[in-house]
Amino acid sequence: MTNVMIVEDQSMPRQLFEMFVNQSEDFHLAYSIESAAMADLYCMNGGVDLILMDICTALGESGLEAAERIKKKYPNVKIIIVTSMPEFSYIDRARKAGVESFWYKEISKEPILDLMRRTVAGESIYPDKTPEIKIGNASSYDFTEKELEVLRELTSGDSDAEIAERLCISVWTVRSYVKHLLEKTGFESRTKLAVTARESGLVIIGY
Amino acid sequence: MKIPEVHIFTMILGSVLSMCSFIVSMIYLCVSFGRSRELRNKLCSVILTLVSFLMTGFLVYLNIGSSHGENEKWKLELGEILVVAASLVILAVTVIFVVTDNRKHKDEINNNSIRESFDVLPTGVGFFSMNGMPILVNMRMELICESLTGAGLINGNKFWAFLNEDIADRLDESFPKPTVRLSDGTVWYFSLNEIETETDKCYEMTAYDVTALSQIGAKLTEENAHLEAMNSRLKKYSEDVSDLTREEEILSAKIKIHDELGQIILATRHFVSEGMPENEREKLLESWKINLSLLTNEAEPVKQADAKKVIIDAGKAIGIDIVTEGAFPVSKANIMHVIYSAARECMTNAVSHAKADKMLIKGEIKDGYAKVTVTNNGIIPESAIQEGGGLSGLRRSVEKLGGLMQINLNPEFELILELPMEGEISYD
Repeated sequence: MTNVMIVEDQSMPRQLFEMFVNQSEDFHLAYSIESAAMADLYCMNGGVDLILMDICTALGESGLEAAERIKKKYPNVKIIIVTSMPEFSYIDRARKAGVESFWYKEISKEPILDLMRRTVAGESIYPDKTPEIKIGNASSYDFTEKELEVLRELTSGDSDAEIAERLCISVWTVRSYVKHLLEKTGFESRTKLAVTARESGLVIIGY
Repeated sequence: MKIPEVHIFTMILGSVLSMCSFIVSMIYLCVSFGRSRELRNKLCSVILTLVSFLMTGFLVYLNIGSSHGENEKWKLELGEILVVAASLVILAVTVIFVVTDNRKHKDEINNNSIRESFDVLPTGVGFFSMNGMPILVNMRMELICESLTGAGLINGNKFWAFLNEDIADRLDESFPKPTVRLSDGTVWYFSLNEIETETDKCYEMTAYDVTALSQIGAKLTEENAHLEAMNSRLKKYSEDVSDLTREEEILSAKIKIHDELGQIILATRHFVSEGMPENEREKLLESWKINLSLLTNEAEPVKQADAKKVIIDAGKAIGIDIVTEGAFPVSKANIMHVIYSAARECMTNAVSHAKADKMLIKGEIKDGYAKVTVTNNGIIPESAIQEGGGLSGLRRSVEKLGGLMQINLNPEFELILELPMEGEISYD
């Protein structure tokens, strides 16, 4: 029997996952919490074998950061990242953290249970790529990695100087990237660009 | 015997020519001395003047002693011709010399040309002795001084003091001091430097026209204010968007559930009217259970996560009672992130090393700082704590926010964090 912890802030998908786990014969629901803030503590006594970890959890805590901490302290605990956000960096970050599997959320029974069983069996299942998102005239696949990094920082509302300092590039480089993004998307203002990017979930700052 | 008319004409012509050359050379003499021309030029003008003067005198003498006999007629004519020719030559030489010298003077750089160019500089420049006496001040600086003070520039030190102290209402704050806006709308930035010459020291005061820069600066300031306002709105949006996106997701899920419910109802109707195989009935029942459960949850209000409850529940899971007291800045995500890290670290160490079963986390918000104190009832370490990965990582996070972290062991284990906060704060 595999002990499962669910880390999910939204009650509906959390409840759904709880039901799937409770109704299965090979999984036991150990914990169901809404924030990743203290998730690693639940693994302390060895009572967790598998975690379904959301990324944007309650209290603004990142499931990816929690996953990274857990994999360092408790490498035997397997983690499946579950998210509905198409943020471009999540898959890479999950791989680097050592997360076993990655799943884009759907409210359906079989795929997640199937994924859970395969992960426990030792498989690592990741999507080939992030979902394609339309941003203005451009597709999310049209942007370079650096452009997406700058786009993410743009949604913070900080100045170009503050963004440049965080990314360790010059202010002129930041402005150049913003210019390219505006040209690709056809947006006239960086505010519209930032709002559209954030609403689409292509870039999410803080998680 | 009377002199024939041709002799009179010749004498007059010669006199006129030598008189003209004398006048021209006299004028040039005065000019060359008055304008400080080169010594060579001055000497040449003196020589020409003397020669033309002597020639004129000689012709006057010839005019006076001009009554001669018939047999000296030819000699006189030759002499007259020579005199006229000489006068002509002297006049020509004088005129050519004056013209070429003047032309050459215009092409040469000398003291006057330096002064002229100095005066037409667009920048105001003035050189002053150490006690402020003007040495050389150009026209631009004089005009600026007059515009500001209503008088000419008499003392450089006093003018500099005036720029720095007495015209605060005309200073342009967007530039370093002293930068002044004149009544005509132009903006001037002043600088004062001490320079050393070969023999002495003096001050160089310069006034730069920064009017165009000032206008661009004002426009930039206005645009920056507009951008800052936009950024503030974007920041606020960024804080709220997670909640907004969550609500959208919940709505999307609800819509999907309602759609599924519609299909389930149709399937149930089919089951009631025409029956269904056993395995399909099980699946239908399962779908009813799931969707009804979700719909039940839909009716309940969505609760905001409670930071204290999250920490307390985690404590229960690992066998330690957590008590929280005081206020925590729940609206400051970056501060709370550090507080969660501290709680995790302390709880882990309290259970693993100190064997504690109770922990107190106190929060205090005062004077723009959030202070968090964590204590437990576990074993007190005998020696100073060696900060491992967790505690050193926590210290880095605290210091990155400009805060302080302190660990005390006497009389009990105590971890204290002091974290500075900006802006409005919500308490919990």
